[in-house]
Amino acid sequence: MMTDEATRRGFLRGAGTAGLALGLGGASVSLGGAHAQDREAIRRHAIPATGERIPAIGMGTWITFNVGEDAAMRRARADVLARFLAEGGGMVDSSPMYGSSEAVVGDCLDRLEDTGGLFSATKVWTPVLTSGPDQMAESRRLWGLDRFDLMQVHNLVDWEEHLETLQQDKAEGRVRYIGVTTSHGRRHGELEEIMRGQPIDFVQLTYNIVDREAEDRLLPLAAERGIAVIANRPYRRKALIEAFQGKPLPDWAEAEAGARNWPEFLLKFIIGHPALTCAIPATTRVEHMAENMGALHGPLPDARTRARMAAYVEAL
Amino acid sequence: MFPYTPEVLTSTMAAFNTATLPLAVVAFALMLGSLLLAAFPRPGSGLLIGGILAAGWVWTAVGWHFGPFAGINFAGPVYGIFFLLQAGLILWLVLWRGRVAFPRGIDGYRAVGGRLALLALIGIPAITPLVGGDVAGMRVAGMAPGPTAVLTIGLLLMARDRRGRWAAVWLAVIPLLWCLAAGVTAWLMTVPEDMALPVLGLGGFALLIVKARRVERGGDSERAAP
Ligand SMILES: NC(=O)c1ccc[n+]([C@@H]2O[C@H](COP(=O)([O-])OP(=O)(O)OC[C@H]3O[C@@H](n4cnc5c(N)ncnc54)[C@H](OP(=O)(O)O)[C@@H]3O)[C@@H](O)[C@H]2O)c1
Repeated sequence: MMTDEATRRGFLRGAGTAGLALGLGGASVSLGGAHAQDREAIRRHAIPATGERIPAIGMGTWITFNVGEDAAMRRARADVLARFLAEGGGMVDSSPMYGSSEAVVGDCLDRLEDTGGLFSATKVWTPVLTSGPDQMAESRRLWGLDRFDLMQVHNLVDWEEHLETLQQDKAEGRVRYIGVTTSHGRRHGELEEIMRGQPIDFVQLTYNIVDREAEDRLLPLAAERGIAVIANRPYRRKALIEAFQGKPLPDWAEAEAGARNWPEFLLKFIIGHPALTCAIPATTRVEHMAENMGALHGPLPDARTRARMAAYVEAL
Repeated sequence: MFPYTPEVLTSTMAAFNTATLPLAVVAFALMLGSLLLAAFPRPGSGLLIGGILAAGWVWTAVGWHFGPFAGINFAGPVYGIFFLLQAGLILWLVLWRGRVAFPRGIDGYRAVGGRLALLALIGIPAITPLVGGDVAGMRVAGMAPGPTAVLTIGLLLMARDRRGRWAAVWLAVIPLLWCLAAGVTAWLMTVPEDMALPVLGLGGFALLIVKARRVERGGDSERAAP
């Protein structure tokens, strides 16, 4: 199991049908949920720090899971999360900055029979008068977890102070991996310094088929330093889907990139980069989740095909 | 970038209105009462109106911004602080210093102010069901920030500064800022309830300035005062 959820209600309850992940070298076999019979191979990438393999498609929660107390919307998000886990999904990324998202994720996890494949990732974000340790304790409470798989410093806010705490938390077992995040191409210089000088396991940044600044320095640096990379805003917050949805996929998309639709095309471009560990698209809809999880199957584009994909999109 | 959708905003407002029932009804009655007091003033109307408005700003801050709104938007408490500040300003200038009074009679400013207040009381709440939203999610003055801000500007247009200076204009600054901030958000996110706020806020504020300048020069409004 990727996550220690000893206290999470329903953990053992669902263990029999859990998305049981068996590491088998490059790709692993997931026996889970909707695909239990299929025993489909899903794409997993290794976290360099430990070699642990996690599904290459995760799930974001910005806006999508911030539904407050609305009971109907919470039920709908539980369906999205259930589909995600059933399709072999792992990483769920959230933050205390995302309003009620953490509370809603916790509520959804409580509603699910089986949360065995979860790789819990959240952040510490302390703009004013907030204590990092208190905030992280509150996040554990909201998610219903004893520890997170990954705790990240959100947008590099107070990173010096938080990274010290996170290292201590890691040593004491309150978190398994630590990292920092940024987005929209901001503060890449500072991020690079942190990647060079700090003992972090993960970095999260914006990377998609049009926002590719990270390719120049950050992704090679991550590979060199053995830091796992999470790509946020894989669809540029839906803008890419909206821009391309009506346009044809190239006729070589499936054969060369393993992509049957635009979401797969965009996600496979991202996770096809050798330094990329995981992309985390966010959605409110089960059918979109199913599409996104499709990117866990089939071949990934190689460097040449990725260049072709980017050129195709640029020409559109 | 806003962390919630318009749908979630209305749903959160609906939950707030429902959970605090009958407060929405009480708030509506009080705010309507303040408009009636402004339209048909009696001795002490200014103090009563100031008290009602201050209570509305405090409740919008404490009940909404620090409450359910903070649950979906980390910036909620920051807005709440501004709303408390506005309540403090009203208490200070209207109740403590007695700077704002409500004259009898009608002039252009009072007519426009009354209409703005009516829009805040009835027009803005009506938008939610008109665009197919949950009736329970209606924005009620004294509960929701938008109509509270517009109502305040409307009532200030109906008022008179006892020393012929700028108290009403100062009292309209935070309401105007809210109208602008919420209006920008509304246009970016498509929140129909708040889309007219910038026009209402800016229009009302501009009239308040014109009025203050005319009053300073001993113009019409002062003559209409009791
Ligand atoms: N600084 C940071 O740490 C930081 C910054 C940004 C993002 N993030 C993380 O990264 C995650 C992803 O970024 P994001 O949420 O900004 O944007 P995104 O994942 O690029 O886009 C999300 C949007 O894509 C749509 N979508 C998802 N799958 C789709 C599909 N198959 N077909 C059509 N539309 C689809 C969703 O709409 P529907 O609901 O209609 O599907 C949603 O509006 C965030 O949720 C957050 O967890 C972190």
